[in-house]
Amino acid sequence: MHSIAAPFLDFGRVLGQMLRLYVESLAYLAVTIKEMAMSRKRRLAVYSSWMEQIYWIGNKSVSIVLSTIAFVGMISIVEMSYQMNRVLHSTDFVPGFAALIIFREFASVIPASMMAGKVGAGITAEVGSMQITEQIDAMRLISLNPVKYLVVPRFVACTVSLVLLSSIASLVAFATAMAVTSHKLGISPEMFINTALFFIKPEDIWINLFKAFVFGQIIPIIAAHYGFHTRGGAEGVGLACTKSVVYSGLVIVILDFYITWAATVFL
Amino acid sequence: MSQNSKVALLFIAAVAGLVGIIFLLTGGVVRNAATLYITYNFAGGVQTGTPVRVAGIQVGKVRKIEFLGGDPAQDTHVQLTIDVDAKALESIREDSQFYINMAGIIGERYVEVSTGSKDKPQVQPKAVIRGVDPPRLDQLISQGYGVMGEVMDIIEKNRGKIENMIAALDAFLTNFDPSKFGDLAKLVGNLSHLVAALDKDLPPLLAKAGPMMDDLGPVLKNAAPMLADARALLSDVRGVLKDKNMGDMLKQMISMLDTADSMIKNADHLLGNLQFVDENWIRHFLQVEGVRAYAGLGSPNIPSGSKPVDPPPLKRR
Repeated sequence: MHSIAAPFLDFGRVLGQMLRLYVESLAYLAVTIKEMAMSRKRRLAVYSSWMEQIYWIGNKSVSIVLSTIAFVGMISIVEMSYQMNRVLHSTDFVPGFAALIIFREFASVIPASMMAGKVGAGITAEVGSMQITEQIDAMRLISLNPVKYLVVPRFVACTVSLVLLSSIASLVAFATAMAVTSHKLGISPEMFINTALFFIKPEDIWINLFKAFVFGQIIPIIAAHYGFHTRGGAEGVGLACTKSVVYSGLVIVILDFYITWAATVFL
Repeated sequence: MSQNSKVALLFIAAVAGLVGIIFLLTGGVVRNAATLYITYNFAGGVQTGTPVRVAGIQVGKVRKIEFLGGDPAQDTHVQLTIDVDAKALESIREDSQFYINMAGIIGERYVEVSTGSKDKPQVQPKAVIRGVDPPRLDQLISQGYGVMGEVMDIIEKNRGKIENMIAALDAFLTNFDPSKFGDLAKLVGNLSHLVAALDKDLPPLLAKAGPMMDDLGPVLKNAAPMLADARALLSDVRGVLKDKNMGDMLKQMISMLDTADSMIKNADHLLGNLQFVDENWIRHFLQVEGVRAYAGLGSPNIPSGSKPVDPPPLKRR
């Protein structure tokens, strides 16, 4: 009986801890913003910290994220044109559906997945290493809250970076899809844009940005959670990184499903 | 480049990308655009941002769609506000037509503007133009369904007859003698000759009929007032007959005529009976009747108690 219930109990416990960490992060973010408003010195320090994190999380991910999304855009056209030609004997739908899938799904999910692998694993490894070397405990000893000083800057940086990257990614994927369509199907860029714009609506852009905003918050929370709960030595850090990447990816897909569902109901 | 600059660049790139996408989606802004108002009675499928094309090239977009109201007396119910490139406006003349077309199998709509005649003046910006309503394919399809349903009903009700007809046709075709094709060919040939003859003879016939028709015109023209007079006369007669006194009078006259008829019959009978009367018979009759009268009254010249002598029997001639 215990063995059957154990995974569910573990899942509930972990979910509770993550939610607690999320609420804590939001609370400390509010405190930080208040401090920034009250003190110029603090404002500069926090600004510097956030910009540094955005640089390491956002700018350093540009190449990998945009390379990935560029190929995803191309793959979507190749695959769709093949399948639609096979089933419908027409490729007229390709630009429209490709644009829809790029703007509604790929532009947020692909960068988020890449960020979960690259940034999430980095945060887990960093925090996990600090955990196993008792640096976290040392911070607590000198009255520095690890959530406030370790998680909040990464939380902000990851959220902002993912929204920015997602915005650029949608354009890059659209452009590569257009290029492949022009080359493979002989549809001119003007026709591609006109057909695509007939399908996509402004709300598709807002849904994409909202998803990026949500995934950007989820990745550092899951990563930090596994970092704080790292046990053992280097092996423990590796295990924590693996869990962080796997569960981030899983949560991204699950949340994507619910957000998409809600969007189809309410928009 | 510093870290902050690189982050700022990322921000700028992302914001520019976002603005670009929103710019595209909201239809953007057509530079040097002229606004035209196109009215339709039905503009199915057109949306804000629908492209406007002149000679197949996109020159603008639909900016606004307004419902003008459901007044049945109004000719049009929908007004499209379109922005057209000023250069393209030169091709749009007063006789240009504004169609709502469908492109491709996905059914995306666009407003197609036909280039007008060169001799017509150019359409002025902010002009209100009546567009050409697109065909109601939805209605056509639904009516088609109705017709198909009725056809199916007819087929279902007459299934036996149709099967018999098909069987008869099948039997006819199966048993058809190919050698009869010659006869058929002759029949068709004869028909062809007949048609040719008619083609030759009919025009003179029709030419002859022409003057007759010309004469018929005045006759018909005169017949009209005659018929009107006859109608008036009949109407008067009907009015007289409806009068109550006239009815009574007619009844009395009929009664009198009946009486007269009866009298004539009696007189005729009497005359029939008196046909044998002549001078001798009258004399004899008067003698006999006179004797009787005398005897009855006691005349002094006739002795009392003497018997009257019977007149001779009447002889019918």
